[in-house]
Amino acid sequence: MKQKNLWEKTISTLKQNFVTDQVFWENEVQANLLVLRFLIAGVVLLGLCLIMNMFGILAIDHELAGRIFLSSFLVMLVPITACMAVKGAKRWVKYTMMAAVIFALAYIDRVMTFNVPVLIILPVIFSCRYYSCAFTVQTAAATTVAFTLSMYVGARDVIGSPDMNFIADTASEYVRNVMLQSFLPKWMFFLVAAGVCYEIARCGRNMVLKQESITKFNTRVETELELANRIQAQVLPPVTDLPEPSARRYDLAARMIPAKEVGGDFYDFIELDPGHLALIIADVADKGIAAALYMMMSKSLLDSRILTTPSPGAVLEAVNRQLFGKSLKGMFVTVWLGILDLNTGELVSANAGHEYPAIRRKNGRFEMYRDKHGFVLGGSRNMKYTETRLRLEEGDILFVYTDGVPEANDPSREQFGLTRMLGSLDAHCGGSMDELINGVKADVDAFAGEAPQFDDTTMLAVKLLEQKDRKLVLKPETREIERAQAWLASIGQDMHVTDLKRKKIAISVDELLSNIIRYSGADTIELEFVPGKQESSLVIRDNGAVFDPLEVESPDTSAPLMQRKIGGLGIMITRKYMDRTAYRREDGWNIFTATVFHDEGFD
Amino acid sequence: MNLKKERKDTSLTVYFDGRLDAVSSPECEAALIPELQGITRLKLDLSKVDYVSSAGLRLLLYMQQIMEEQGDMVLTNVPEIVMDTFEVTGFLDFIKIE
Repeated sequence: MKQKNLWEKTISTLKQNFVTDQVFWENEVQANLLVLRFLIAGVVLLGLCLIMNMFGILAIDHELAGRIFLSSFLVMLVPITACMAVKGAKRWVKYTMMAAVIFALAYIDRVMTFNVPVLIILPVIFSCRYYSCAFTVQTAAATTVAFTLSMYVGARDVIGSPDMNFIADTASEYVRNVMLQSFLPKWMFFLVAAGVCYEIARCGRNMVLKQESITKFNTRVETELELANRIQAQVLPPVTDLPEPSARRYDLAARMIPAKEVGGDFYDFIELDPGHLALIIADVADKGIAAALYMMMSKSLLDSRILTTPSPGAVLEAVNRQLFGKSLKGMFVTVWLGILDLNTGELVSANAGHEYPAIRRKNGRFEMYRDKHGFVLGGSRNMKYTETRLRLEEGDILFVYTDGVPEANDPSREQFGLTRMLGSLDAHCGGSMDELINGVKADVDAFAGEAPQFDDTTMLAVKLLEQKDRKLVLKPETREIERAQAWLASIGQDMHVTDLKRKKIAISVDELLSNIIRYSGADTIELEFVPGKQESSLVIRDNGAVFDPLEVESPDTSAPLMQRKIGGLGIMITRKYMDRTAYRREDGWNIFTATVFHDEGFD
Repeated sequence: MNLKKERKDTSLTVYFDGRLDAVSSPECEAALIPELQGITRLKLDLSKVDYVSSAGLRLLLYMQQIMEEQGDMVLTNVPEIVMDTFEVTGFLDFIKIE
């Protein structure tokens, strides 16, 4: 057990080091490129020195200085070329460059024994940019060795212009004087500089480590917030939770588009029983994790209460008491809650400080429905919530939303507003509720442009379907078949069959209609789509002469084409393509029912 | 229904686009039958046909009857649903499909 823990610890340390190493490696490459620039500048300076030396401007041994400048120049070119070739991204680059710098500077120092004391500190200054204490120490040691040697050799050979301060009787005494009185103080000064560089390297290193841990922490927080966002979105029910569209008398769509932060908007819809649909839209004040948690709590309380108490006013009262009891100072939620009787269209709703719903009466325009407002939930102890009743007729649309819609702002801080919202609703109400919501969302987005939005945008729309959407009345003209086909295509999705089957249905309808149009003498033809759980039917009624297509004798399909009569073929196709067919005569109407079984995977 | 015709000497290729049904078949008949004069090879491309109803079958049969007198007729790029209709009506055995 202990072993395992140790092993895991090692692995996690390794992983961490791996990330840290990565950061320092990136830093090292940058440092390499920085030193590279100084090396290039150094080479240019050396070039200048060479020229100055040629004109005898420098008061040193020209021949020796020329040799030293030239070889330093050439030595520096090596790491410059190498570093440029690998773009600074190799481990050996820093050692190569530093070795060349130390060599060149020490070599030059030999000829300028007394003149340029600062040369000795350049390598350590370069080294501290690597934020590596070890590398700074290595550089300091190498510099000490190289400069001691160069100084000693320079003094012994009395190269350059001998310093009169150290003149002695013997050569060895002169060397000792130079080393003790000139180099030693210089080296001590160098030690101080090296110490400072060491500290800079250490601080830099710590700063990088700290920065990295901050970044890691931020990443973690961001990940958690994203996770919270996703969980929040997942507690909102998808429309597929409802019975399949063909078994519903309403069309419903809902969407929550979260702003950048985790917010507190939510919607909900629950079929309490086959005749009642509960609808909720709510907005928790404030943003962030606290709002998200409050939203989760409010949603659970509302959901569980609705299932036992199907009265919006009573539900809001009870949930308000519970939320207030949690005494979360200052937190509250606005809720619009409605229960729709799907058979009568009666909508009972209660509003706890939420935006007014918008309602569109069939063939009218969207209007705000100003129901009675109660106080927000969680705001005060014993609040009463008045219930409002209204009746939705077939074709009417109810739209509820959160303030993210009317309060969306454009770059000049102007708000989308209710007028624009109503206009947008009117513009998109012709299609499905999904299209309505997407249309409004698109308009809001177009209005907002680049302006950042801080509020979640949540919408829920429900439409009581007109039952006659499932019916089509035709005149007995061949042209009308096209209308029938368009109508069939529009209800195609509700048929729950494959494309191939849908085409077979289209062919059958074509055959049946052309028969009626041509032969029955009817003046009205009615088509009706009757959806079911496992099968769907098309009922075709006409008020023409009595005609049972099922009595027509099938043609002999194996006889050669040329010898066949074509009549009856259409009816035969229909019978083969539909899973069940039936005919009856009622009150002067021929009623033909063609049924298809739903295909698997299309329920 | 849209028709596109390509004629080369005495061979004619017709591309159908849409439904070949009770509405479109009479139009196609009026547009195609006069063209068949002197044609020895007729090719019908059905790749863009949604479906063929009995009225469409009737047109195909009519064209087949004409072409048997003066050359041959082949159908090409027949979609699944059309193939199915040919099969249940027994057309498959009597028409040439490429």
